[in-house]
Amino acid sequence: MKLAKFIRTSSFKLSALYLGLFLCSFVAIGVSVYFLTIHSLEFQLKNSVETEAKRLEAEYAVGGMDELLEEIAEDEHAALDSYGVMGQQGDFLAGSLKHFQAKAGWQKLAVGSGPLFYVFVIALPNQHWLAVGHSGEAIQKTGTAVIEAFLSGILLVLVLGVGGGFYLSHAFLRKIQAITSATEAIISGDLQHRLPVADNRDELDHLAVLLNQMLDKIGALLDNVQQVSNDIAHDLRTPISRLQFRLEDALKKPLTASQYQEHIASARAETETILATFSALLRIAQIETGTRRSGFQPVNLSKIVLSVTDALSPVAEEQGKTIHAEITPDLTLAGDKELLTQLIFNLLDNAIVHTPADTRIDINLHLSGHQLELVVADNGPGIAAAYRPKVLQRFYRLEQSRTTPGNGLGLSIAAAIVELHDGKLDLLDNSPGLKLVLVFTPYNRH
Amino acid sequence: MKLAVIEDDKETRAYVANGLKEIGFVVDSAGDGLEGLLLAKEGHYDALIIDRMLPHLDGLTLVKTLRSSGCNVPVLFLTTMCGIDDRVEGLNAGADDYLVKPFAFSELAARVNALLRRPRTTVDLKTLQVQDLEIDLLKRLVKRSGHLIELQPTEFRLLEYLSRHAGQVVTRTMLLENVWDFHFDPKTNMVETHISRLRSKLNAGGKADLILTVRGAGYIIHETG
Repeated sequence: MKLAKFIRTSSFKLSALYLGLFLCSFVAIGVSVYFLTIHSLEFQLKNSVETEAKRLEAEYAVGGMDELLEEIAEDEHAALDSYGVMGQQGDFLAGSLKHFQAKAGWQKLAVGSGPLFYVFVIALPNQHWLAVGHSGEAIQKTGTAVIEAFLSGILLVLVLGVGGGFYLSHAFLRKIQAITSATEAIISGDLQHRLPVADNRDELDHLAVLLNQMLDKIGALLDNVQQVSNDIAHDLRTPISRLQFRLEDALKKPLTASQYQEHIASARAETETILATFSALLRIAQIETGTRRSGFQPVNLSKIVLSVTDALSPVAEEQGKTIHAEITPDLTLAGDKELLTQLIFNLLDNAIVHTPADTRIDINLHLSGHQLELVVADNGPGIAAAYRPKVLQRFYRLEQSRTTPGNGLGLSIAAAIVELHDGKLDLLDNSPGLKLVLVFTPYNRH
Repeated sequence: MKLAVIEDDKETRAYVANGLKEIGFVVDSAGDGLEGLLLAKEGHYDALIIDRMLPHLDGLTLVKTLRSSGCNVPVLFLTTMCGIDDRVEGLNAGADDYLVKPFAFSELAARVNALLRRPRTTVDLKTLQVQDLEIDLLKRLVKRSGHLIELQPTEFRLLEYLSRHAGQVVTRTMLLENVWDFHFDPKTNMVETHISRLRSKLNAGGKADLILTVRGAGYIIHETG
């Protein structure tokens, strides 16, 4: 069962295939090495034997049979080669080589149970034959050594290949097992759990890294949902209980119709506030999920700034404040028109709402280097450096603005929209006043 | 005028249907998508008010089915789906307007009236005439009793929208969406400020108010004085 599981893994199949291919080429190399070695050794041997035979033939030509036999007796003694001379009647006159055939050229001769002899035969005058031979023992041994070397090589390859295949499949299965158990842990509710990633970064690790990123994203989304429900639980409790008090108050004693109407109207105003806060929270959550990013299109930010300024200028004027706009035309970025409109609106509206009369508000859109820079500045009271990061948090309201209308979500929405557009939002000191600096990457540079 | 309300929540359905009956409409209602589709196909309605999330057949599919069968009766989506993309999705499916729950009944009434008055095929008007007001849409000129009134572009768009819907209540949200293209609720008196500026320009020389405030609902310009 376990073996079958191993064999089914892709890594085992792959290593088996490689092993087969490797073995085939190994055998092919072995065969050719064997034959080349044998051939080259035979060639050397035959060369030296032929030279010896020619020398003896020359001796014979000079000194006749006696000289030859004497030479053979001496050389046999040295035991380098073996010799044999055959007479007219096929009788062997000298040397240890016997039973060779009376035929000029090469022949192989078995001597006893020993190795083959390579024998070269030369025809002498008077139908005598001279044979010079050399044992093929060395060649045979070399051949055997080559074959043995390759066989043990093949054995080693087989052992390593099969073992390696098993090891790889085991490693693969172990990884899969680790991923499986991590996934099971996540399914059973441990959302912080991540898939294991090894250092060697193979395809599985890359996949695991990608899946982990996905899990991070899902985790962030879940946190977001959690955050929203916490916010709702925390900050809607107050207005809802206020609403309840009012309704209970109205029920306590009989009232006149106009008093009831008054109570109903105030209760209705309270529900409106609650709903507005509620939808603002949902909106932040939706923006933060980033799903709007897929619908990004080139948006003319200059036009948006212009139209929002145009919409809010009368409101500012009515409160004795002035808006001065300096807008470089036709600056575009990839984004969501509706959200960017809300962003500019919230920033400008914030500047109008949280400043005293006679405040001058500057809104300025221009290219700064290769970036779009939007500055919304006022010369109002400003925000102390320590509180600046806090005003971007949900529901955070400065002491001085507790009494102004709003739910403390305007800048949180703005911050979420800036984040969605990969922009930067900084709160700076305008001495006096607050200066918001937003930086975006323009469309043509994407 | 005959309307159909397709909404699965009993209480909302009754609230909407009764409210519309009170202001003079004939109203039929259905509690699920399939029933609603049958009703819409057979009933010859002047407008449909449809919830997005319905049992058996969701509102989006219902509208798509209606539109693909060649039915072009005005449709208003009434829904709790207030997602930023939901509105676009709803309008793309063929709805004419989109109202997110919770809503004020006056808002619904105004929008239904606007739908019923909306010409089925857009006519290219060159001029608008309301009471003693004359608007040249091509030259972007406004005259009241023959006197030229100079308006800012936004004020012109505001007046144009109100005049195109003369005789109907136009809500603050409708103005925000159609004049400024703002699809969020700005918690300021922005609309009121612009209206009061426009009013003072129109009323220059002691003339009577053209733009009337309808308490708790919006604004109206009557067709005749």
